[in-house]
Amino acid sequence: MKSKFTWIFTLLLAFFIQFSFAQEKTITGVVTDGTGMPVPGANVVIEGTSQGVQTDFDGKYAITASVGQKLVFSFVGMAPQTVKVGASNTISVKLEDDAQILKDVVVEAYRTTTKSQSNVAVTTITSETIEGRPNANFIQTLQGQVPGLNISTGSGQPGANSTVILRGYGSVNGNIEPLYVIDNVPMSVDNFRSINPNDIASISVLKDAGATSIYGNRGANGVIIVKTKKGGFKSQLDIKYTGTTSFTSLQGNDYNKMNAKQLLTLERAYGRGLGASGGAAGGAMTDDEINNYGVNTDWYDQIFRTGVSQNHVLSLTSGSENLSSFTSFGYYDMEGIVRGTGLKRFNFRNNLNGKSSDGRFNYSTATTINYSVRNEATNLGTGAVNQNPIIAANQGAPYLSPSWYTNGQELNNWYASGIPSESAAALGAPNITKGNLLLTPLMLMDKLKTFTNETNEIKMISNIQASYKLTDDLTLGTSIGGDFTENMTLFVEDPHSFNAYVFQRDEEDYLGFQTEAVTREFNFNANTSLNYNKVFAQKHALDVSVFTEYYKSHLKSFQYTQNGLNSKVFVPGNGAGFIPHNPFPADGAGSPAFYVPEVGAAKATAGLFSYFGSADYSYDQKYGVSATVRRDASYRFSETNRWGTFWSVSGRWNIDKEAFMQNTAFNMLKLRASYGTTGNQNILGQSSFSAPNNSRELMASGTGYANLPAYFVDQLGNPDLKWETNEQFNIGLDFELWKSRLRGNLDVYQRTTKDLFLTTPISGVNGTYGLLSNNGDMRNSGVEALVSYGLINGKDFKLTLNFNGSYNRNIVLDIPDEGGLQNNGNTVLHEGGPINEYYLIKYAGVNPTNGNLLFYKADGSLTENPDPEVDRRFTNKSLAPIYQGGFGFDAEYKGFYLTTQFNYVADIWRFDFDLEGLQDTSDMGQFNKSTDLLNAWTPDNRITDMPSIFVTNKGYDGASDRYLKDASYVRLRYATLGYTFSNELLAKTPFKGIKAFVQGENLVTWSKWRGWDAESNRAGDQSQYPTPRIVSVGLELQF
Amino acid sequence: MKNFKVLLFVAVASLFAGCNDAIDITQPSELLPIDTYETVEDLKLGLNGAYAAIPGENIIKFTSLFTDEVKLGVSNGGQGTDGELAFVLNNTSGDAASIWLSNYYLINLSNRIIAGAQNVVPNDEIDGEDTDRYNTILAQAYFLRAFGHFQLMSFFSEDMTNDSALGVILMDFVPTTKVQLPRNTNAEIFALIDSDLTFAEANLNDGIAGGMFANKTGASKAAIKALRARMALYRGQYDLALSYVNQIGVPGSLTLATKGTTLTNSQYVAMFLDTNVNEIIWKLERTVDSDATGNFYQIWASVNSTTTGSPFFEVSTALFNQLAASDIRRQVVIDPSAAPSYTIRPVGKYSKSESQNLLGDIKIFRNSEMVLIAAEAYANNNDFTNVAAMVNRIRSVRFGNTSGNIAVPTTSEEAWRAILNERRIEFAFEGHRYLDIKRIGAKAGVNVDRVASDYVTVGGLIDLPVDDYRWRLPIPRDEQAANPNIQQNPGYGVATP
Repeated sequence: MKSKFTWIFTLLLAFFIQFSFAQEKTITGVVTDGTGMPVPGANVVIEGTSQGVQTDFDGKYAITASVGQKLVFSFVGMAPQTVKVGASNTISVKLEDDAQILKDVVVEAYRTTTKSQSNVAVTTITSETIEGRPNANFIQTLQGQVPGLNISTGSGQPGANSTVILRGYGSVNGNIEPLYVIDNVPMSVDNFRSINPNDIASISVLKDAGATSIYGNRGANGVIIVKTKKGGFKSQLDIKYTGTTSFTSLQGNDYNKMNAKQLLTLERAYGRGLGASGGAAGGAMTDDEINNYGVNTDWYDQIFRTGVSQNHVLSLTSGSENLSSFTSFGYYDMEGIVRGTGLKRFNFRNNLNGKSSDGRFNYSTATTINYSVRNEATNLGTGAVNQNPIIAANQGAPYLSPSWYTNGQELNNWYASGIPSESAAALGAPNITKGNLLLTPLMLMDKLKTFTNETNEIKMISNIQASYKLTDDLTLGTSIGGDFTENMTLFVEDPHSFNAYVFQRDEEDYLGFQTEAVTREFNFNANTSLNYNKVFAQKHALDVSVFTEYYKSHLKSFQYTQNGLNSKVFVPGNGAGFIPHNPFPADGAGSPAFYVPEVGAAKATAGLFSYFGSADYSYDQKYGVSATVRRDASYRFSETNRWGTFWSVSGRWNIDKEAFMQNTAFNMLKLRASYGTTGNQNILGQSSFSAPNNSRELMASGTGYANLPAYFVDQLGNPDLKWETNEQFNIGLDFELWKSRLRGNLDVYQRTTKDLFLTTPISGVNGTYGLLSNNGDMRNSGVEALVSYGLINGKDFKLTLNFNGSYNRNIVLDIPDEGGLQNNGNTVLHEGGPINEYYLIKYAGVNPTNGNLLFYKADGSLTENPDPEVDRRFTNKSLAPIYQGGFGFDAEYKGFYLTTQFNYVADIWRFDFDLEGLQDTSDMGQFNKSTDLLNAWTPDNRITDMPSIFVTNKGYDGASDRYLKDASYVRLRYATLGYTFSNELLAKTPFKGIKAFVQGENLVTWSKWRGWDAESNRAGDQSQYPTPRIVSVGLELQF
Repeated sequence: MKNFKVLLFVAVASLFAGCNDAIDITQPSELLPIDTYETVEDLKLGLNGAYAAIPGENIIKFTSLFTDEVKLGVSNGGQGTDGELAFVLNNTSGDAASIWLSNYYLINLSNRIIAGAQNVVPNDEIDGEDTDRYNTILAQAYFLRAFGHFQLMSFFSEDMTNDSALGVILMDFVPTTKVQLPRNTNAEIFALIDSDLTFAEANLNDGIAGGMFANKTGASKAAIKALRARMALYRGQYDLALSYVNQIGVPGSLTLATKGTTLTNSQYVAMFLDTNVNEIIWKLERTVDSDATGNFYQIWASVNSTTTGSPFFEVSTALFNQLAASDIRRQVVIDPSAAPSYTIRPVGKYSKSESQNLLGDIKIFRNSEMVLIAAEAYANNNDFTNVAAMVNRIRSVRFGNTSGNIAVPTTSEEAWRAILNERRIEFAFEGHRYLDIKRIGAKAGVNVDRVASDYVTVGGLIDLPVDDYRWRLPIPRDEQAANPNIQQNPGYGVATP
């Protein structure tokens, strides 16, 4: 009550002064923040005097001043304003957040501090970078924003998951992605397609061990902390609407597919396919016949489209004295560029904050409920010519016409028997022989028209946090959270689809199938803490906490497949039309087992328990040291190896606070260092549930010989399994010069993973060749920098340049296999090389004498027949990029603003299998080719990089680096141009703010990579869903 | 203060919710080895698992590709071209790794049954047959362990006819993951197989075994004898082999599947559609599984065995040329949809079973093999009349008349060649050809028989001399990586990374 009394007293004093000096007048008003919420406790001071008041809980103030005096309004974290007292007795001001000061808040693991007082390496992204972007998954928005954070998606499927790597690959088989914590709830997997990006207030990326060690059991790959928005106490209702309409379209590629005439001519030369047999007399087509051929289809047009997407977000913020809330609704509907694919989503969020009137008890809840429906293409990345639609797009023969497609049954007849001559004549189609995969694009048209692959997802995340100040210095806190996800997948092969007919079996009268699968996952976590925070003698600040944490996950799934559907009544997702299985038919004949439904179910449990503590000491805000220690137990390991201890120490020196640094250009200069350990208990991939009991040898019951029940060896046990441990050293420098006009930081780190989970070879007499064990070490070392410079900071025109970049070198230090080398075919784990280093025969080019491929043998000599056993070499190339980052500028001129963001990734190598398919002549007559083949070797064109179309040693290039391509790129990832209506323009409207913008994603890419997208999280790309270009227009309204 | 009490309660509760329930977790349905075998029924379930582990398809595919049974099919997308078809065989080859591992897995499961059975006490109060069932199950486990070792010997032994040559690793126990064992001698392995088969023969009750696995899909006394006959044959013990054949039946009168007058009434065709077992001694059941795909799906073709089923491989020209039009075997080796032009010749032997395309039981022992084992025994004794009689016993049934009969060979080489040719046709796509050329190719003056035009795109490779080192499989690199004591077969280089 003490402080409130003071303000009331001040007010009384102000009235008193008014009576005392009647010649002055009383000015009243309200101080609000950028979102229109009142700012209590703001200072209102008459410039040049010591007279001043503070605003009350409603942001109101009253002060006596004379006309001509100036009032200075200020509040921590906001830019001060000065207003001259004029005729009016009312002065209300809106204090804008001082962006720089706001950014100074640093979220460390379990506490927040200021930038100058933080000892650790953290990069924070605020809502302004995330809001309004048309990415379904907010992680994609982070791309290129955080030095050292590599994000690659490699799929244009709306809501597709990305691979997120911080400071290089930290594991070979285990989880490589950071831990995500949303509003204190740790996420088991990075499934964010259901989260509304517009709800996010900030994202903090914790990098060094000083920051992550306190997350011991899952902090090995860094931690990403997401905080969602909150309302402020005593604030009026604020309503904000953002609407965006986006157009997604295909990004181009440089494959140069042939047109119909080119392909027919090539086929004629090769002697296979329509060009070689579609002539009048069944022979080769003549030049005239080729020139007059009437069909030329670009299959991109049939498979892809321009998708139209909409995003609407409405949020309401308000607060009373002891309760505040943030509520938002979102609706998002994105059409994928592949026909039939898309994502629809409904979001709801409600965040509440409350406190006791004495302020000692505080609580908050954060709840989000999301429902999404997505339709996805299947078999992407595979060579399934009847399933993967991208094959049709990239390799469909252009001399086929989509108009020839009628239905699946007729297409199957064509496939089984060839096109009947009367149909061919009617359609103007050539006679295509039976069994020809040339019909692939028509098969895939059929697939896109008939299949269903729909997933309904319900995702709820909720958290309640509460704290109570036992004394002024001692706070007891708890946080309890739950993360619930339910996925229901519906997969249907239509009974009239081509695929149903082509795999029809004898006596199978009813075709098609429907699979429905439900997976439900619930994660629960509870954290209890006791915190002691006190400043002694005004110089010694101590902050000590102890915690326990409990984490438990439950998984349940079940599914069925019904084979045989009566198309007359069947509708996807419904059960009408299921054909029953009859085990005892009246005629006594054995009933085929086609219609027996298949069923399955699974459940799993996972858990962790930890206790840990942290201590932070700061002297005079100039020097600081912190330490954390954490004891962690994982359910995965045997009792003796269950517990792991992880710890860290970190320190800082605020050099700018030293006397010798006064009156220099530096307004901030801080050196910090940390060393510590973290653990990784996710042995296989990201899931909490994978490899749950590998310490034990287990048998399993399943279907055995002749479909009889049987026992098998499920797994061999490794009782020695234990934590994978990361040791990380980090030294960093944070600096701000010329009144923060130049800001940035620099970090150098070395991160060593020990006891890597690797498959250790075991003798085949065990029935398997490998056993997961802790063996081997790997190191990532690198440098990261982030710089921002306010180049122009005028009244009307502002221009800020920013850059971030990182260099990371991954080296495998120790591998248990013989010779320090684990050979996985085209890649190896090899001591001294990067993770999954490509291990390939070196391709030399085309032999001018015969047009065959030439390769280098191990001794450097040329050969047409290399030996993959001895001629492979270490390439020092891998999928892990060495350099990556982003740069761009923010410009403002009067109300207009323009933001650009470029991304770059360099020294990254991937296989371009799409290109290989378009240059491979062995399936000539069935698939389209690249115009590269026009330059193929012939006796008259001997000096070329394209082998003869009759190349006879093509089989060797699979083990060579012929199609290993540089996937480095620079991309204009994002640009937005907008206009913010000024307060003057809005004065007569009901709006507090209006903003309109256009923006684009993936606008331009510069790369040697010839495919659709240089960015991918895979070592090789073949018929993958291309990532789109997105252009959007949007409007933001605030009431 | 009320709030505080609630909070304190929650905090304390979360502390004592017990750390153990979050970390002492066993997954549902975990089955520890020690709990697996408690009753005779458990042993039967173990046996169902062991039978499922008997490899077949990998051996058949390797044999067909590495020898001369297939050529590239019209829908070949590179399958086999940089490996078996080009005679590429080294310690990184998948075939060697797979054949080695799958047989040891079979042996491992058999050993677990044998070990587990020690703790099982049959309960004859149920129906009086529990002890018989127990014995028959155990007998089959021994039989499968012997069969696994024998398959390994066939492919990996340095020389089956030399008892002191290196065999494979003898496994009569459940190993730990740390074992690193050298290869045993042939004699040691053969001794184990002999004793296992003796045990199996003494304890197996044909009636009970037949009730467990119908239609000759399980072990029987005849199958044990057939294995003994084949083993004696491979070891060059011809007279012993003949004596085992005679224990099964007089070779000249063993039941053979008839040709019939049409494809639908042909017992021979029915045998490969798995609807007739007259001639079968032992086959492996293959049934429609939940994937609804056949066991040869994606091996011979991607859709079915007809000419429009997208064949990856087709019957080689050389083999096609050996198949007379009136020989019923042509209708099975090559899918009938190839007629009459035979320009596309899909592999027809596993065309369909249980209405599932590309599904077929794996025939391990057939009577015709016993007849041809007898033929080899006669050839070894230079009894050419009986060689012709045995070969013609097969041919007259397959042709339905004597039109395909051979003349009595006049030289030893002719006799061996007649047998090898007959085996080639009779056992095409059944996994024999590689072992047969290795065993008797030299005596018959034959190595792989390829027509050059079939193999243009794989470097035109048509010869692999019978004394080449590649007639034994290499010890796989995966084994070498784990086991420094293992010895590689001659000819294969030092392990390369």
